[in-house]
Amino acid sequence: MVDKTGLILGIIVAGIIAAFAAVNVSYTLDLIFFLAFYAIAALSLNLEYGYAGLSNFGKVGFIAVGAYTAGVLSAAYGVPFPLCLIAAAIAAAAVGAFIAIPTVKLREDYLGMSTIIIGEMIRILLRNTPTNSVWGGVFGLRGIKPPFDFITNTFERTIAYVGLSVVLFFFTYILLERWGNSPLGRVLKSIRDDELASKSIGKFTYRYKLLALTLGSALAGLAGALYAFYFLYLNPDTFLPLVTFLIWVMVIIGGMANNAGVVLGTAIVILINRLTQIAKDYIHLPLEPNYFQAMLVGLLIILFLMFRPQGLVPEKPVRTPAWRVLEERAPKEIDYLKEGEGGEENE
Amino acid sequence: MSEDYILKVEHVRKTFGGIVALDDVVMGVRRGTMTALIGPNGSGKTTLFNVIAGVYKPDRGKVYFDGHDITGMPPEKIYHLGLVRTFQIPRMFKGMTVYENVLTAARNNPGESYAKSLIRSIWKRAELGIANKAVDTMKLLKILHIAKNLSSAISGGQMKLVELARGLMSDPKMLLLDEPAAGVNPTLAHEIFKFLRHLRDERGMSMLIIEHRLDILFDYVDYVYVMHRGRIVAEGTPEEVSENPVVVEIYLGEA
Ligand SMILES: Nc1ncnc2c1ncn2[C@@H]1O[C@H](COP(=O)(O)OP(=O)(O)O)[C@@H](O)[C@H]1O
Ligand SMILES: [Mg+2]
Repeated sequence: MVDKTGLILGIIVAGIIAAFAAVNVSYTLDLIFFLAFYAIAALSLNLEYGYAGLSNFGKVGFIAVGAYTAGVLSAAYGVPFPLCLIAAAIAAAAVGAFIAIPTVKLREDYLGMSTIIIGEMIRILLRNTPTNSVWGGVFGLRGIKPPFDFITNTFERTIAYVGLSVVLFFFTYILLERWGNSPLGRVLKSIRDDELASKSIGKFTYRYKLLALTLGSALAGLAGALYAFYFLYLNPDTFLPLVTFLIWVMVIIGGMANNAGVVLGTAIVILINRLTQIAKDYIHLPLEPNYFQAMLVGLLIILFLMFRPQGLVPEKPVRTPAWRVLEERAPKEIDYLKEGEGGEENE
Repeated sequence: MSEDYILKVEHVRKTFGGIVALDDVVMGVRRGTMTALIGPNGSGKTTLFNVIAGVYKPDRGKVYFDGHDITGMPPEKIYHLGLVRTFQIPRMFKGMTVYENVLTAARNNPGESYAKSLIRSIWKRAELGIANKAVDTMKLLKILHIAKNLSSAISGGQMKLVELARGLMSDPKMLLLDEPAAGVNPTLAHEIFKFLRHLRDERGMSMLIIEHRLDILFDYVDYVYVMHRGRIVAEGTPEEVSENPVVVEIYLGEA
């Protein structure tokens, strides 16, 4: 079932993108790439936070690990593009597991703190190494080999690459939908809602949380690799905490534990960013436009947390064939209600 | 002797800072019985449940379940041995419906693995079986009509029933029930206890039940332990216990 608000907003978003496309094709390609990149990252946070309730405040760090793994392998070692993508996901997953192992067993806030720290630490490490290191320190990483270099026309090459990014976005979306609409989805939500109760019905919550962070980090790493091969250049200061913040906003305004909602949230945040960027050329603002963007997004999140904490597209029950059993049996079985009851059914 | 006891608690002590919540507790539950644990508020009943179910490690003493030493074992492992508990204050998975709460409590659903969940054909059959069982259980407990409600949006009494339904989904050997009839009207309370008696008689399930409403409780249980200030101060059949002057004094003292 499609949520009405979600559908209407989805159409509006699609309309705006189509309008962009009519005006400027390469600008639109760029927009589509960013949508795919951020949607993969936001979906990975949805797995961790929306489903499993794990507060990962260092998302950008895992994206950076993926980006730099792919970039260094390509630029310094000439590793083929597809292998770089896989290596990026594995490297980010390893860092995710490394952080999850000691923290996931502890209280929730420890995970939040360690991820904030790791997110910034990765950027600072990348930045404060000599410029002659393979990743170039503060000068950044150059020389990433362009993928699809057998396509000679650069415009066509961009189309192919953006197309691949969209395919990987769909892959991520389908993966999340499968996980979310399976018995696993229920277990993750049970951990999010009440971990002790989840343990008491036999769920090995530690393992589930560890894997959620590991797999979520793998997806973030994949997004990072896509970023690296799009720009063919990486700078540590691209991976600021602001990126993590934006991804959180996407998940919160879109709707936690709702993948379609998260994609919608991604589109809205990105479009706000783009539209304010365009607007600044036409409207004279009394303040620095970049601050204005941050303020706008900040205001948005406050409004959502206050008035619509469930997000634009609220969470839905986990869809499995079990619902069919209920639909078939409940109408027949529910007769007992008529036999007169203790009176507990009224709230 | 230990053979016909499914649960044995031996010399368990548990302190919280300066508070001695459990002090040398020795008790047991015979296989296939409904055993009660009573005592005034704050006497340590819930703490004993938490020690048995693996939430707290005892400072001293041992807990045995069905031939296994489960002292300090984590709750999820104890569950898989066949010992399932419910909570005094219901702990719902509040973002999920009643139905999903019950479904989640099934044992060994192959679709709960990250890899297998991706291929529906692997887990579909098991899921359908679990779904039928969940409907059966909700029907027995008369919560089928609220199956689609969000579990945070039902009454406290209904939450107690959802707790019980979740507990039953794994066909446990033994249930630890912390005030299963608290907050429900007397008619429903009797129905709950009749249902528990049915589980004992038909499925041979063992139970340890904390309950405040002795009038209802004593009609159903086989054996009673009385707790006071962290110690077991009396035990026996409901008749013996209700005539025990120590017990009468404790309950009079409380009022
Ligand atoms: N987690 C805890 N931390 C500190 N004190 C506790 C804790 N749990 C229980 N207690 C104390 O242990 C005693 C027994 O509590 P409890 O087991 O809940 O009693 P009952 O269930 O019999 O009413 C009380 O004095 C209570 O305050
Ligand atoms: Mg209690």
